[in-house]
Amino acid sequence: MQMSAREEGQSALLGPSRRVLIIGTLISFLLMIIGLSYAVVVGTRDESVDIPGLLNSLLSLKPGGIVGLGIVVMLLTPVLNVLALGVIFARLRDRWFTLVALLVLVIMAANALLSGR
Amino acid sequence: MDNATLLILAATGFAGGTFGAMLGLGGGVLIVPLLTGILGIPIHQAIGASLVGVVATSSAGAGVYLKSRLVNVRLGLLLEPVLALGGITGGLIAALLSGQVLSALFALALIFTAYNMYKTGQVQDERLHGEIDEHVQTAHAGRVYDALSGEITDKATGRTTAYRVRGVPIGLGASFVAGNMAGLLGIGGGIIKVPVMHLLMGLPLKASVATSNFAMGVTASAAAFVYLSEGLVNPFLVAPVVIGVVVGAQVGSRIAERVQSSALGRVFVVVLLFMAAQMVSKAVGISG
Repeated sequence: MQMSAREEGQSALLGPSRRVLIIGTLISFLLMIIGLSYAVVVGTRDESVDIPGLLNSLLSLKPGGIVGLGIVVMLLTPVLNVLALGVIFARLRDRWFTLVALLVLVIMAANALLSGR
Repeated sequence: MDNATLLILAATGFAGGTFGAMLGLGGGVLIVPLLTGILGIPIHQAIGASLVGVVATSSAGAGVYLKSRLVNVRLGLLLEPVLALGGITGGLIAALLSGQVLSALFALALIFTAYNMYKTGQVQDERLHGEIDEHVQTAHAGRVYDALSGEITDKATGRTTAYRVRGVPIGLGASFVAGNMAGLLGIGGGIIKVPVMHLLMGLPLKASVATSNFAMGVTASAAAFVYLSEGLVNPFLVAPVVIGVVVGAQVGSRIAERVQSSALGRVFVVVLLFMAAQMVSKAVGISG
């Protein structure tokens, strides 16, 4: 059975989107496991909950910093997925959905910048 | 936080991830009541943890759903800007509300959804979605709707169903509400998105669950950044929950592919009512 143009377009999106989500989740997962294992071994839990605190912990290679980096990677994974979809839509010359992807990225960037202030 | 607590948190995430991926909820409806009810964690922190768990459920579950071709990627992306704005707004409002108010809102959302899904279960899938509805297209909306059309093959029945998406403006409006609920309550917003996609937009139930799951990652991520900036994301609370959620989402997604849609709906209703009772007791001060 031949694939319709619509189905072919859908196929072009599924593979890269799936790869971004799986790789992002795996990296995040590994960072959190490493950070948690490190915390169990050394027995310290630097429970920083703000962004500067997490950054300091990461630069000092403390367990909380590594776990925090894993959390940030997890939060960025869907955003990177939207970026990947935007690139694919641009290659497919689908201007409407390229703009939608761009709009999502602008909203997320503005939110991250305003949250960080 | 001792090692036993870390294990309990991971088990909570596993339960939330399994049911969340099965039902397109993101796991928040289980994680928040369990964290607040059993472990006594303040609801704002529980919501922050849940939101990261929702992102994890979405990403891990979407990997499976994308492989099964159940996700309508274009529709998911189209709803994401509104979902993200709703999520950010909800997160900002949540920071202003007390724990009891949040618990009461949580209970209301669950009861409303349980009622909607009970009604959904009474309607036969074949009658609603067996054929493409040719009567809802307009000249202006036709281009967009055609781009959103799709078809899925249900592994449980082996039947391929073609569908055409309708009601996009309603879907966008509902997405803002869903995003708002996600940011406010730490849930994926699937309790709004799934019934709206299924009943009003013309998607088969499994495509609705998969597409909702796919789109909720951005929603929860937007809201989680608000919680992170408010200092409500504790790494050692979040990480074990998320690890449990990732494993549970893999299990739940695989179960969902092989379960009849009607059975999925019945599980949905029971789980929601149970959690609603828990949150009512918290809101009126009987527990936690």
